[in-house]
This record gives sequence, C-alpha cells and structure tokens, in this order.
Amino acid sequence: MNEEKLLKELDNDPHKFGEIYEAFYKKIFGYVFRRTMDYDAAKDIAAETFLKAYTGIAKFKYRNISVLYWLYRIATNELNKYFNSRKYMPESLSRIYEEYGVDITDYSNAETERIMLEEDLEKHREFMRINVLIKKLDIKYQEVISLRFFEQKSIKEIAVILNKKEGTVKSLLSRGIDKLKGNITRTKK
Amino acid sequence: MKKDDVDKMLSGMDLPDPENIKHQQELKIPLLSFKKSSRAGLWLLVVPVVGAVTFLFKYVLGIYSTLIDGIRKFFDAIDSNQFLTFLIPVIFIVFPLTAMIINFLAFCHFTFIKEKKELLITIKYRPLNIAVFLFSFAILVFFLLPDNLSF
Repeated sequence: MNEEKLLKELDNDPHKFGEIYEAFYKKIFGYVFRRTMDYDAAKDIAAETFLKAYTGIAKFKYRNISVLYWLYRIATNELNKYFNSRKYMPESLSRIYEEYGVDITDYSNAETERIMLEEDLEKHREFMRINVLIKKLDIKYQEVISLRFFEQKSIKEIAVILNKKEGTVKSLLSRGIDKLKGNITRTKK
Repeated sequence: MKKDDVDKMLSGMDLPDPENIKHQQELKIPLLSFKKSSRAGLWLLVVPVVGAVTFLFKYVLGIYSTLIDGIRKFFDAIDSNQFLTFLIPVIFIVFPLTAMIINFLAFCHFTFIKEKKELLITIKYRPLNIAVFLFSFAILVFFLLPDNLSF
C-alpha cells in the first residue's frame, strides 16, 4: 500500500479510508486486546480509534511515517482513558449512539467471537499472569513494555508512537522492566 | 531473577493473536457510512410525512392554506402524469417500509450462538428508533388504505 498516494486520494474520496482500515484493523484490535484482555473493551476501543482516525485523517500529515503509528497513538490514548476511568466512554461511539441511536459495535457474531478469544486467552496463561503484573505498573511503563514486547516495536518506533524521545523510551523501558521484575519476585515468594 | 531474564521471558512469550476475528467486516460498513445511512433514514420519511400532514390538515382538520393546496396539487400532478405515477407508491409505501426496517433493526437484534444453537433476540430500549418505527408503520397503514393511495 502506497500510503502517501492513498492519503492524497483521501481528500477527494473519503471512502479510500477503507483501505487503511482493511490493512491495519487487526493489528490495532490485537494490540488493544492484548492490553485489556477484554473482548468488549477491545472492540469499543478499536472502533473508537478508527472513528477518530476517519474523522481526523485530514490532520495527519505524511512524513515518511506510517499511518499505523498514528493509529497506535490514538489507540494508546484511548487505552489510557480506559485504564484511568472506572467507566470508559468512547466519545465518538457514544456520540453516534446519542445522535443516531445506532451501536455500530453491535456485531451479529460477537458472542461466538468473544467465546473464541476467551478460550484462546486461556491457552496463554503465562501471558495472562505477566499481563496482570504489568497492569499493576504505572501506565507510562505499561505502554512501553506492551509496545516493545507484545507488539515487537523498536525503540525508535515506540518513540514515534508515543511522541517521546528515544532516550526517554529507553529509560522508561529499563525502569519498567525493573519494576516488573520486582512484581514477579514478590509474587513468587 | 535478573533483569535480563525478565527481558528474555517477555521476548519469548507466546502471545494471544486474535487473527481470526470476523467483526472487522461488519464494523467497516457502518463506520464508513453511518452519517449517510442515518440521513437517508430521515429523508425517507420527509416526503410521506409532508403528504400525511397535508392530508390531515385539509381533509381531517379542514384547514386551508395556499401552501397546503400547493403541496396537494404537486402530488396530484405526479399522480396524474403517466411517467411519474409510479412514484406515489414508492414515496408512500416503499419509503416508510424501508424506514421501518432500518429502525426495527436499530432496536431489535438477532444473534445466533453456534455453540449453544440458540437464537438470541434482543430488544434495546431506543425510544427514537421505536417512535420512528411506529410512525413509519402508521404512515404505511394510512396510505395502504385503498382510498388514500390515490392522492
């Protein structure tokens, strides 16, 4: 996919956004699902991410940086809201629901899919155990650890996604792993 | 446990990968067209409502105005034109019927759970959709009465 060309075409045809959606939805949903370990929250956050990207794509300026990183940034911001509030309210989804009475994340096979993903999650007990410990860390450490180890992003890529300096990311990652090590050791005692 | 061990453990961890999700396609259409479809849902009712209100004012309440008379003449002109006469049933039957279906699906959901072989029917409390559904139904019934189809 030639993103630069596609972004130019989006000015005349907003439905070209469908190509971005097709290319990156699973990656973003996977990222959100691995962080939340909650199917319903993941589908809401992923939908909110793409709605915000769709309505704000004109603000995205291509500078040899993939749209995917921008999507990761939106998703990360939504995840922060999710973890920082007792009841997460996806703004765009809520607005659509209030204005049009439509819940666009109400999928016909949601129940089947939820069961399938929960069963898959059960097969990854070690991941679940570690993720619970990661969630006990400050959100700034959670972000870098999950992007580095669950999404296999480089320090440079994480810096772009989080809009931080590479040195800051390295430092956060190092301290985050230290703190996680402490959590793991405490649970083993 | 050393810091490097944690690094290695995280790097080599087997991760859940929701690669087989199917809802992606279901979300795509409403995501890219929710504004258009909602507007279309409203537009579907505008013309039949104008027709119904005109009828109500003129024949039921006996209120006369040049605007109401103008609208009535406009519909009469369509009805009497041999090329446009098909528009009357489209406007007063197909449009409300479509609006009814759209709004019905907005508050009534059907989910089939393969594992349990169950069909779940969920009715969500959405007053606006229910009101529009009932209103569309009333318009449809009104114009399906034999005497009213010919405006």
